[in-house]
Amino acid sequence: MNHINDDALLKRVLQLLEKDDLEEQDRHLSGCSLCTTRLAEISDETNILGSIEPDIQVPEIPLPRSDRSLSFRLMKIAALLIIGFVAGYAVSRSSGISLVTIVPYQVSHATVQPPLSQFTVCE
Amino acid sequence: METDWGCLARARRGDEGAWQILVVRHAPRLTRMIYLITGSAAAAQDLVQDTFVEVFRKGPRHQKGSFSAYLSTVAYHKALKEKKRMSSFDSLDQVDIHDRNGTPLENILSKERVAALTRVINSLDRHHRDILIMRFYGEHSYENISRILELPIGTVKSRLFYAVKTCREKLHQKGLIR
Repeated sequence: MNHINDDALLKRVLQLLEKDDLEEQDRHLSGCSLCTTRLAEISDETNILGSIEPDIQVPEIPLPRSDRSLSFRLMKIAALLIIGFVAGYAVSRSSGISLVTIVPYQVSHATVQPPLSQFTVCE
Repeated sequence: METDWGCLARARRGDEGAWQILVVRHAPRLTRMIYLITGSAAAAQDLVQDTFVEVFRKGPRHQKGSFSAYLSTVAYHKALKEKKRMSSFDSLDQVDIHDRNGTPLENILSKERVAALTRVINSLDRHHRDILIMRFYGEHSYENISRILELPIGTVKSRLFYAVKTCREKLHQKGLIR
């Protein structure tokens, strides 16, 4: 009886066999304890390659903030301006500083000089 | 169970629960994979975060294929870039290993065994090592690996076979397996 070689068994462990080859191995393995034992050994040895467990923390990843629309941003700016205005007004009221009122004041310019004919010539 | 693509769509609409499902499903596998490629725990944590944020912000151009492969493709390219950037590559020889639930002696033996194992994996060239890491630590199908690395599936299979065979031979030589 021809036994299955290690390469072919390794291909089986790695799920690399084509359907026909797999079926042929199945038939052999069902009646060969030697190959079945060897298959188990190769499987264990191969699994060792995936047995490293690095001591690292998986990071917590918070939900990123999605990109907002332009209208949302404009509303946000408007809300900030209103809050700023109200807060500024409240602070000015509570600090006791009276509001300064600017009253327009009309400044009269130089009076218009009378015409020269109105002057008397002195001898 | 809702698909990953469905979860991503809900997360992009602000659903935190859907986002957490994606992170719990994929972050551990990605962290392990990037760590084994770069050899840096800090880089692995940062790059996993970057990967998720990028996928969230950009959104997929299509929803064909596996979300897991899509995520891993982004992560893999980030890992390669980072590894290139790191001038002094932190060798996998220095991997920190979890203490097993055993006696101190068993833990030391276990750590030495795993250190030897990491040296063996690290001795492979990049093309073979990356495929082995994706298969054993990324838990990817051959189809996914083929998509991520943009290689024919036959090449992926033959490289994995070679990588595993080489590692087994080296482990034999070191007496780690019979």
